[in-house]
Amino acid sequence: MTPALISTLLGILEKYGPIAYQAAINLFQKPEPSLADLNAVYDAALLGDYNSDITAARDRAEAKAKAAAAADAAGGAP
Amino acid sequence: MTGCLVTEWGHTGSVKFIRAFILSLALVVPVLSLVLVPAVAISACKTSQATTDFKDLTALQNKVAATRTEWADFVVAERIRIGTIADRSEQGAALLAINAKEVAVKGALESYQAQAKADKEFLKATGTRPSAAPLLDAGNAYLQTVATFKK
Repeated sequence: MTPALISTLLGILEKYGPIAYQAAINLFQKPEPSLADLNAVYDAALLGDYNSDITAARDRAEAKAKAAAAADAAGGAP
Repeated sequence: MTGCLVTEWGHTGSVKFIRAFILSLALVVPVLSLVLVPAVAISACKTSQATTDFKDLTALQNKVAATRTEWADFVVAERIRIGTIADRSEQGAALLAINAKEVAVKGALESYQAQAKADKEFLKATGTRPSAAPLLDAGNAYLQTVATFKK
């Protein structure tokens, strides 16, 4: 009875072993990033251009200068 | 009934069933482990190329975004500084230099954005991921250009 049981079990393993192996791989494998996630990276890269970057930097510099002038005026007021 | 089990060990149907069950487990569990444990280990450790590319592209885009802001601030500050140079010829030379730098950096950024646009269109048209290499190269070229001219 034992050799028959062993051969039956080996037969099952031979038949279903590769399927079980692949199922375990699919179950535990980390999910890949979606195409929408990848698209979001491209969209981020395409935001603005060189000129808009310089405009934004000028605005920041102007705001900083105004804030410094206001601080000076407030500091200098009696 | 217990006495019957003890004295008739190996002969009653329930004992035979229990022996067969234990034997099956003793055979199946190690054999399944040989199949499942490597599968679990491989799938936990293995990272697909798509995942690696996505991580690299995201990191690159974050660096490019930060560099764009830094470079723009640098250019504005440099132009303000040039405006304070008293010597006209020195001012002229400084202006020519910053203009040339801006042309190079702008060109590198436009190349990066053109590649991103092409990859986006490829993804939309085919529904498959394009190779990440051209965009990574273009992004790194932009970062390198800024690093060269920001000195």
